[in-house]
Amino acid sequence: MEKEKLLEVKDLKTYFLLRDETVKAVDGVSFDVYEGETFGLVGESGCGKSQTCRSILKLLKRPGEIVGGEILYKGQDIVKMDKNEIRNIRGKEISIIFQEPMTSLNPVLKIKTQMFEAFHDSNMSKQEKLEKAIELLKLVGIPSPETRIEEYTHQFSGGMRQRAMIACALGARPKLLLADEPTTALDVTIQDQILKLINSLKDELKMSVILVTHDLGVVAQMCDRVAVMYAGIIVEMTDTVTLFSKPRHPYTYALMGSLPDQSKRGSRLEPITGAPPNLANLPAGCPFAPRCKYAEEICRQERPEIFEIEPGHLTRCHFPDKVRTFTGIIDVPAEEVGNNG
Amino acid sequence: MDDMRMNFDYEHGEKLVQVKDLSMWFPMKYGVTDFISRKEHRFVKAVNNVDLDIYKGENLGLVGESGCGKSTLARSIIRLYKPTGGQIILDGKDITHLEGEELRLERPKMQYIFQDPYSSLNPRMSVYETIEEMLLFHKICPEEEVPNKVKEILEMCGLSMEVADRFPGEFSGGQRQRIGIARSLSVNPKLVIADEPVSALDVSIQAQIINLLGDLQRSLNLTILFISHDLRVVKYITHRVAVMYLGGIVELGKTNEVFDHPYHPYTQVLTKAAPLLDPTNRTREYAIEGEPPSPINMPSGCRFNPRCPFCQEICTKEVPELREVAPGRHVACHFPLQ
Repeated sequence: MEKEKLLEVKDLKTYFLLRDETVKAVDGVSFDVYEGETFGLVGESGCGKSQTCRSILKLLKRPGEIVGGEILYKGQDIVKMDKNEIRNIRGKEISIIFQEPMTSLNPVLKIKTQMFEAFHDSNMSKQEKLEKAIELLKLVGIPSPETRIEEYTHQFSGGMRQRAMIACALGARPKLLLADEPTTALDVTIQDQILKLINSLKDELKMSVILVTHDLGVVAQMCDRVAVMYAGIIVEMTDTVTLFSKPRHPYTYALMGSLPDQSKRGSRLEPITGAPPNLANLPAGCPFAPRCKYAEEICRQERPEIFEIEPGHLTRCHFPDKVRTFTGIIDVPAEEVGNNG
Repeated sequence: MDDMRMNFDYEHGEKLVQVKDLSMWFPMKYGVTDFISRKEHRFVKAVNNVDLDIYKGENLGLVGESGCGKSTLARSIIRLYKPTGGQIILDGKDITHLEGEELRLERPKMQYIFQDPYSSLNPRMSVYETIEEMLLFHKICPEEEVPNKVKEILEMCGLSMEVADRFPGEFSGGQRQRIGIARSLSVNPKLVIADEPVSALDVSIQAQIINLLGDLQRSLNLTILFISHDLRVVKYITHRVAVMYLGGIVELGKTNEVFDHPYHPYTQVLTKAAPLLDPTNRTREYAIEGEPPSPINMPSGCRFNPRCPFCQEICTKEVPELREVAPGRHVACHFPLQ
């Protein structure tokens, strides 16, 4: 079954133009999101995953600017839209939830008032809006929504706030939900609840989700396909099962190697040496080269192009033969790979 | 394989810290109107009747959700708070009621590594000054030996003397955490409390710091109380683990035993909730519903009973004691899982 493309990001470039330098937060990112799938953007802090996500809704903070590329949502280019046009997309077609619900919800407005904003344009009466809002709160699992809808955000716990924010985001039944580290500030038990909530809502409302995270565990549990980002570019992109069974980029491979795991108890971890590069002053070649175990002269000179190493599996490395030898952290029989997406 | 980390000899182990029946309550605001209306004094019961021994040279993990009292317990142990009740014995000396100068003399024995390397270092002190201050204040070495000592400590933590004149703002998160560790270890502590030392760091940097802590523990024979909510890290680095829920320890035992075969239903919930690194093994069931109740109004009986799937009548009435169910294995539950 061929799925429809909902969103196409083509060669997106988001730069922060500072007075004396340019920070290339997103430097030529391309990916597609299909209908009904969860697409993961994973990477370390400062790799550009959040900026990619914000660019899709043009929610960049100044001096951030989209300087190139296209973002096609149902064939329309979001980059070219003016303020009014993008308003018709935000919240209605594409919604976003953030990491820290306390700072993204308004502390001086009742939950009710914030939720009504989602129905701003509809011709519903107040009573209808209230019913709709209560129904949404029920959907995201807030107990006794009739009374809690009259409360303020500080009266909610961390997990409840995140649920309330999801309810706000879902108000207009969006087709695409951008989730920017939705569970990073939460405990594991609450994280588990929120992730599973997003999963069941995704099925119920037939949404697509772009999940931004730094946690490979969250990726493993949630995503159909994943793009691994490093220093503003995608270094590897494939379906989740393939990523975990056959990583094909030294960065992904090293990330998996540095995860603490019970089976490795007693042995030393293999950390990635050094630190991520400064985005204002990127090395000329592959941005991962200074930290890469396998880097050779060409890696420092030339930035590798992204190419298809195996069907549906993109990577960006000068040494395809080397990366083909990498084994992942799970074993999957060859025929099962690819059926998961 | 490093045997020391895999197996710790508890039978012949010496206890460095003994915590007996420790409680730490924080009084809530009690205003004039509360006084007039004769309201009861209310407390946030962050830590309740905790018994815990920490052996010399071990790495003891402390896990639980935020707000369960992990940090409060740790801070009470090293007397950053004055405990409401109970007793703390460090290296044979009762430090529960020490004050002023006497307590200050004990301080070098117990040090704290903070979670946030951004706010726990003074931005206006260079790395050298940060460590120098510790050495001179606690009179670790005479003034003329300070430069050598600083160099030695920095190198031990994987830093070089080149960083000494720079300020915390110039470093990345991982480097700052190294500076924090160097500062804590500069006074030759016996007990180090590492409070979420890697939570603020990226995965690739985390591994560097975890390795560093492991190496230092072995070379200096440190005793570490390792607080974390990340079970993967705890499983990897600790010998024993204590699971906390709402101010009390619910399970205690060797790390691999506790996580492989949890006896307490809450431990089981925690292990289920952590996302598995295996996309072929997914579940849609919630590990647990709801959130922990507030430590102001504790449920009666077992604190976990309102959320426990195996709750019986006795659980709502009697608080289960932390008792030994197998050698070295303690659990606070009326009906431990098999």
